[in-house]
Amino acid sequence: MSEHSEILHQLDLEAEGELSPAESRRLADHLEGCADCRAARRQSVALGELLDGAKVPVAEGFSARVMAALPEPAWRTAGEGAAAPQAAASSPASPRRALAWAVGLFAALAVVSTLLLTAALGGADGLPGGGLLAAVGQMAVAAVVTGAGLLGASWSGVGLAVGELFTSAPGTLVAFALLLLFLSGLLFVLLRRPRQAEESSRR
Amino acid sequence: METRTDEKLVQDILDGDQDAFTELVERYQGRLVNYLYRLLRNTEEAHDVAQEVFIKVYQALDRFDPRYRFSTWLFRVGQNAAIDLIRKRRLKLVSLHRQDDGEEGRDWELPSPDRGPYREVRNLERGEAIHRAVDELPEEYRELISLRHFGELSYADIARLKEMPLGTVKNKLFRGRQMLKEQLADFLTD
Repeated sequence: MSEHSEILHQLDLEAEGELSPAESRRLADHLEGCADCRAARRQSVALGELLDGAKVPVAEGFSARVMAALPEPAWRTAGEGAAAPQAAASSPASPRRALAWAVGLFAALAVVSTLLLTAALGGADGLPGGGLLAAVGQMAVAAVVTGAGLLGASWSGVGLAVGELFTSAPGTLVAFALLLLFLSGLLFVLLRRPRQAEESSRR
Repeated sequence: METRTDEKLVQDILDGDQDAFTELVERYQGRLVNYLYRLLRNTEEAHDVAQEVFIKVYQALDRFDPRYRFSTWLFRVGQNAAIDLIRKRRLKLVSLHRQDDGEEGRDWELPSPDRGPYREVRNLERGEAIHRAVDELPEEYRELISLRHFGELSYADIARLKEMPLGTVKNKLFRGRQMLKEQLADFLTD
C-alpha cells in the first residue's frame, strides 16, 4: 500500500473515531504538510455528517410502548417455579409411578392366570385348597373354550380350529393367556402415556 | 452516576430491575430503528420490527451469554427479523404477479418533512440521494455501511456480527465509503 493510500485509510478511520492516539498523532503530523490529504480529510468528515443527516428520528414514546408491550418472560416464571421445590419435585415422579402400577398389575394378572391354568390342567392337586383352585381354573378354561365355540358359531372355521387347538394342546392355551395378558398390559401403558404427556405440557 | 455496561444491565434485569431494560431500549432504539429503516425502507415498519426485536430479546434474556456483546446479539436478531419481513413481502409480491426483485424496486418512504430530518425539499432530496447511493453499493459494502453508519456498531462489533476479520471490515468500509464519496460528490462540496 502506498503512503498516500495508507493515509486515506487512516483518514477514514479517524473520521470514524477508530484510530489510536499514536496513529492520530502521526496522521496530524502528515496533514500539516499535505494539502491534498487535508482536502481528503474534509471529505471524510463531510461524508460522515451527510450519512448522519439521513437518519430518521425515533418516534416519541417508543421506549414506553416497548416497555408496556413486554410479556411476562419465561425465565421469570421459571424462577418462581424454582422457588416452589415441592411442586417441581413431585411432577417427575408421575411417569415412574404409572409404570410401577402397570408392571405391578401385569405381574399380578400373570400370577393369577398361571395359577388358574396350572390348577385347571391338574397341577394343583397336592396344594392346600387345590380343589377350589382347580375348579376355578377349569371354569376359566371352559369360559375360553365356550367363547371359542361362540366365535365358531359366528365365524365357524376359525372358531372351531381355535376350540380344537385349545382342547387338544393345553400349552397353546397357556401361551394364549399370556399373550392376552401382555397385550392388556401394553394397552394400559399406552393409554397412560398421553395423559402423562398432557400433565408434562401443563407443567 | 457511572454508566452501566450492557452486560451489567442484562444482569440487573435478570435480578428483577425492570428499569434496566428501559435503559437498554433507550440506548439502542435510535441505532436499531435506523438500521432497520435502512433494510426495510419504511419508518413505521422499522419501528414495529424494532419493538418486536426488543420483546424477543427480553424474553430470551436468560439465554444471553455475557461472553458476547449485547449489541451484536440485538442486531443479529434485528437482521433476522427484517429478513423475515422482506421474505413475506416478496411472497406477497409473487402472489400479486408483480415483476419485482425484492427490495430493489421498493421506494424509500422518507419521513414527512415536518417530522424527520428533512425539513426542506432540498433536504428531502438529499436524504433520498443518500439512501439511493447506499443502495447502489455492492451488497458486501452496503451491509457494512448500514451497520456502521445507521446501526452505529463499532468495527469490532461488525467483525463479530459478520464473522469477518477486523482488517476485512476496515477495508470493505473504506472501499464502500470511497464509492459513496464519488456518488455523493455534489453534496460533499456544498
